[in-house]
Amino acid sequence: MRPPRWADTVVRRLLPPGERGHHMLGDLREEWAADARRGRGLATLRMVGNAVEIRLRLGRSKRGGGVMQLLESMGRTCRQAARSLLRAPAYSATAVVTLALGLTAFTTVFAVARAVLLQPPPFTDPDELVALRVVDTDDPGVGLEASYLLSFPQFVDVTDRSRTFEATAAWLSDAPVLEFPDGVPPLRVQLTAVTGRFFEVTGLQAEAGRLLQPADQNADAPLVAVLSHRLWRSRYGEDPAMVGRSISVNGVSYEVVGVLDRAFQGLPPVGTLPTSDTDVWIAHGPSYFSSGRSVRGLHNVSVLARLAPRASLEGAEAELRAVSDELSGEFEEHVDERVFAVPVQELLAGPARGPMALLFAGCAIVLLLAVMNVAALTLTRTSARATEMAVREALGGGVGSRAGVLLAESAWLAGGGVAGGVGLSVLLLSLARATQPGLLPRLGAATLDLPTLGVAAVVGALAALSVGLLPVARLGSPGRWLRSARGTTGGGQRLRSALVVAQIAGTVVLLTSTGLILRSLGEAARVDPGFRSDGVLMADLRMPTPFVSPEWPQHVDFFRTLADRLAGVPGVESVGFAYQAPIDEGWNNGFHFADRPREVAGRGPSAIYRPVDAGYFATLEIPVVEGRGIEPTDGSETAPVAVVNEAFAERYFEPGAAVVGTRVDYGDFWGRDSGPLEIVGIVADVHFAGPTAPVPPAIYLPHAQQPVREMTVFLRTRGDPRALVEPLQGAVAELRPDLPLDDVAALSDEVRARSGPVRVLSAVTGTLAAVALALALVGLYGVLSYGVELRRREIGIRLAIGAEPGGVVRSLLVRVVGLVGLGLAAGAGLTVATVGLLDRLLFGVTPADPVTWIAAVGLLSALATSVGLLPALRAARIDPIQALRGD
Amino acid sequence: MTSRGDYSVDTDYKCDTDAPPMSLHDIPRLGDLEQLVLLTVLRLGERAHGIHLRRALREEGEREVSRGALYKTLERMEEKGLVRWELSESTPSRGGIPRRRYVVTEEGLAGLRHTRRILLGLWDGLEGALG
Repeated sequence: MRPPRWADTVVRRLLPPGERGHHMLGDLREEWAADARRGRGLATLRMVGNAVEIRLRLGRSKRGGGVMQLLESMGRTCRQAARSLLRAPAYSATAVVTLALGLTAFTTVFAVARAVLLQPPPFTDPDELVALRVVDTDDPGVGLEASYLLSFPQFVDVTDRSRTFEATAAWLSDAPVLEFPDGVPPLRVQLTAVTGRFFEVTGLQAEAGRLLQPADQNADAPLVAVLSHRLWRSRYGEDPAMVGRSISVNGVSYEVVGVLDRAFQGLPPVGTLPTSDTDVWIAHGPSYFSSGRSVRGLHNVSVLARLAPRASLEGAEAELRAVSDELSGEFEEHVDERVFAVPVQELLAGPARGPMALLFAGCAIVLLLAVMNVAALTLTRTSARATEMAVREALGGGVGSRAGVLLAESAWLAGGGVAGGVGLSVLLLSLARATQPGLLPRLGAATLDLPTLGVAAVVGALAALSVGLLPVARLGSPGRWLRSARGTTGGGQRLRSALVVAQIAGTVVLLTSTGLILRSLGEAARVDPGFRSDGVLMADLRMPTPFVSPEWPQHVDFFRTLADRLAGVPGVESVGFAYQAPIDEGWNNGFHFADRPREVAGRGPSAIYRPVDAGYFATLEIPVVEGRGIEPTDGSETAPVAVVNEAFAERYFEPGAAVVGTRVDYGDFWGRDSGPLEIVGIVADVHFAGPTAPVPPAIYLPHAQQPVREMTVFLRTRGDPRALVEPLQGAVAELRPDLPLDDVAALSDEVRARSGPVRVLSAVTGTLAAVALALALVGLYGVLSYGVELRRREIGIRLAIGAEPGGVVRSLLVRVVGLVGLGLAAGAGLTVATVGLLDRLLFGVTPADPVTWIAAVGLLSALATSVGLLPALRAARIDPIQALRGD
Repeated sequence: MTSRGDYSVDTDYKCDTDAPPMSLHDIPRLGDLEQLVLLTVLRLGERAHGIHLRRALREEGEREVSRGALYKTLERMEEKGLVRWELSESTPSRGGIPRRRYVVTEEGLAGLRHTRRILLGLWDGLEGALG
């Protein structure tokens, strides 16, 4: 008894082919025979059903149809494509590396851009958060860059008089010492003193305990502190019992009431926003913020405000303008001051937008160039595969199957490119985080998260499609490959030429941009910083006392003694102290000239406030250009004096007028009025804010006459300044073992670090330009040599009938010059359209800088022509006999 | 990844049978269906054909296995070297197609012994709890 033939046939088709399915067929027949005793129909149905079940389980049949077949055929196509690529390792490797380079740049910049520009800051509803700043309405540079902080009374007034803000908060940063019991060395911590509603405004959450509340800022409230998650973890081992214990900060005891959420991170250490580097948060009222007095002119608090529900930024702006006008009328310190609001999102993204846009454009260009190059390469390869395609066509492979193989090949290439790109990108990001954490705000938050990977995959897929579609579109009509199998087709030559023109154009943009940035760097490097940084060691010393302390005369003594001891250390040439380094702008304070009519407060002159000791100018080699510098004899008992810089003299004096001998007055300052200070000398300008920024007026004052509790020590030596670290630490420890020494560094390293971002930017655009240049040249070479290859026979005939080799070279070079010329023209147009992005990054050069343009265009033309010359020369050496006999 | 029925191997395992010595890493780890199939093949002996295997698994192993699943398991076990097959006699109802008779290999036996030792060790002393 046997099953019906149709069932047997169906089952046979469902089962795997060969011996593998053969015994299964036997089993099913045997079962059918056993079942058929109870009914043949049912037995037959069961047999077919069982075959389907086996088929679904094993799913490897070469016959049958539907999804299975599609999947199988796709798998087959992919394997075929992989084999084909492995047979052409040079092509495959070139294509994968090219795509990987393009995708690395793109993915990295996308990840950074996402972190810097797109990801919200770690606050609740950041859209409603604004920072408040002040500008002088008569300042031509109105805007964020020309703005400054509010004074505490100004903050209180704005808070009281505005209705568009739900809540406001002010804060002030400090770097006190956290003390530990049992002889554990003290730790310098970042402290942020906030007003009571700070955490309500920011919407930050507590990890443990509670955060600070309005009641905590009352004068009679107990002193409480909130720890950062980082400090809680690193110093207290995440001990929950820390909540309720006391910590000692600069000798003052605070009860820890909570720990801040670990999610608060990624905000830059300096700026208008509270830094996420803060270790300790304390609440303080007006007394702390104004050092015991109401100082309207002391602009020292940062302010955040949350917009009230239904309030708009425009509404807030209008209200702030009205409030500013009121304050301007009521207090002479606020005349012509305008308080304005900046969205927090804008603050974070704003400064990075220009460089990011530039990098993004650069990366997009490189990616495009990479795709174009691989497309051109693939076109060439497809043309060269005419024979293979002809055979496939002859064997019955339809356009679909051939297109499938070509697309599958591109998919493999793009897959390799994405994998390589993502891998390199991960490396680059961790490298950037490790070496240049301050390069961009929130760089630390840049990771290859899921959306970034998704974008990389999508871009990769698009690249695969673009690479694969060009040759697929040229697969053409049936029989085409059979006819062209001898390889004489010029297919795609025009397309390839267009790709080369586009590549050259993109390269022009990158080369000119890089050239302009490099020229700016060169110009900046030529600027004399005003001091000599090599051979100088610097370190910060801060007394663990409140901001203004009655102990300051002892501080002066300490610094003087320390200077004397350090001067005796072997290798030390000179010692100097200053409040802040010459590369920090620091505080800009208002003053008035004692001998001139006093101007309205807030509108009077202002200058950088810089207490220094007698050794400072000599140690940093800042020349005294007139009068004298600060002398050791300038003490608390002698007449108050000041030394100004040249910018001060230029800003506040007519040319030729006597500066030395005039007197400046700070009035009531830091809680004391020292009376007018006589200007006794002028020193050369120091570029506080870097070589590209204008030098602001500055007043240097003897440290012995100024109550500053923190100073930076500078030691000059002939050898390596780092060798002085230990002697310095020893000298400090001998005098004050409780005093930590912070930010010990060679001054030259710090100077270099300041120009780090621009340097890195130039390195990145330089790399992009180099990659683009290489891609364009490779593309050009490929197109030209392939063109020569196609015309081999024709050139052979020309040479055979007497054409001069020189003429052949010339005719080919004309083509090179044509392509390069077109590319340069298109590139120049593109550059003119995009160079605006660079405007703010340039220093000392204009976007139309002829040197850069000539250099970029010249370099590209020279290289492109040399690359183009190679295939032309080869063409001239073609042996006519061989060319005719060839193929 | 450990699937259901995979058991970890303790490191002081000593082979206590007459089987050729195998290193610890050579001992295949068995899934529970694989164990059942191996035991059933051993029990069926000369009758260890596909059809009988399925039936015996259902009746003695209390395990209902579809044909596809059984063939797939057998193919996998063959790849792992746990079983091999020989062609045996055909029947008229098979239309001349010979049967496959499955045989447990040395590796299959080693895997079974190892699993048994671990299971017995785990069972040991649990009579009180399990009854």
